[in-house]
Amino acid sequence: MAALYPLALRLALVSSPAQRPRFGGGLAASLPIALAYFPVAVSFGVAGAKAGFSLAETAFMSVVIYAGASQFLALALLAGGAGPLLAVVSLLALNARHLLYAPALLERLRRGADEAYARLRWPWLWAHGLTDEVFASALGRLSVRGARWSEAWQVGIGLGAYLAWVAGTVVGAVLGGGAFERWPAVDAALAFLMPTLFLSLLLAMVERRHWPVVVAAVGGFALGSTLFSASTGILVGMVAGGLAGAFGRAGGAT
Amino acid sequence: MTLGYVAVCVAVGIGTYLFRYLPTRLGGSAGGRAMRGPLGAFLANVGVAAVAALLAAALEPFVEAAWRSGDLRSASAALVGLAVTFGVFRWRKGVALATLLGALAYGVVWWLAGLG
Repeated sequence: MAALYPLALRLALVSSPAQRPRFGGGLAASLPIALAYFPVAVSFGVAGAKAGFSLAETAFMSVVIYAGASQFLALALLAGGAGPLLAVVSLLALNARHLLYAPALLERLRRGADEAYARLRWPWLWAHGLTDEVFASALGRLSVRGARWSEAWQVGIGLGAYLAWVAGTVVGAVLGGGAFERWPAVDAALAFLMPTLFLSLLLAMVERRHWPVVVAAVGGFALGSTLFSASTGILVGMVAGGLAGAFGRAGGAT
Repeated sequence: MTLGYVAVCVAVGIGTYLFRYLPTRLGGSAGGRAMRGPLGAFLANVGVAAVAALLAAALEPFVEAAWRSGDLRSASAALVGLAVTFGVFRWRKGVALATLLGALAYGVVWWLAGLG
């Protein structure tokens, strides 16, 4: 795993892994996420404009919801005339996977005997920024033996990613729905950012003993998305992968 | 901005925040006890599982489009994008560079293949 530490981790090491990281270290660690978020957020802003939403509406959604995949789904649902109740239930179902992130992070801290685990003061503040990528980066930092963590670092990495997401949304909405009509290849490349982002994050986290977890997660996703929907598939994949890790060979500390 | 739009955004925003925040209240000794044993082992692996499932979900539209159209050029573009992401990550160990160059490679192959 030593050869696979993400850039986020390296940037976080303004302090060494053994030192308690600070807010600035968290901001530095957010840079790779911000670089990836910004163009995706621009494409979200452009998609919002294409769907007929105003700059204020698109930006408001990014500020308040701050969950990329569900925001794209929200545009499709709301622009397609879905009822408010259906939209809320569908979007919350998609985001329900976030329930598992804080416990997974806290479990890693507990296993690393990091005393920060026992005295959380600002979880209400940093929890807002606990997106898929921020969660994965925090977990990556804690993959280093003896690495420390702090709530200030977590606030920093969350804030940097959040600002990039909101700023990218505003830029995309200002550019408008026809922004990339003249450059369809740019549009296509932006659409492929999410797969490359998740593949990079997976490479940063995965070890040989995790392959049963990955296989179970992908299989669970295929089953859930075939029988129900993509958002259900994500939940099924998470649960299947977690169970495979808990009861299979990957079982111990991650 | 209509009231309905604001209500949907606020409801989803509050719900998503609570999904992220409420589990942190499991911290401390009670949470520690709860997270030992099978639950702890489950949670220790769910992060990797989440990212793998999200990757599958992100790739699904590209796979489906290639399958439906039978056009191997779009599948090739996706494969090149993923291969470049993998290669750059192994080379530079960086998430951002691998992400951006992988997407760029996809866009270039997409353009060269005349998919526009």
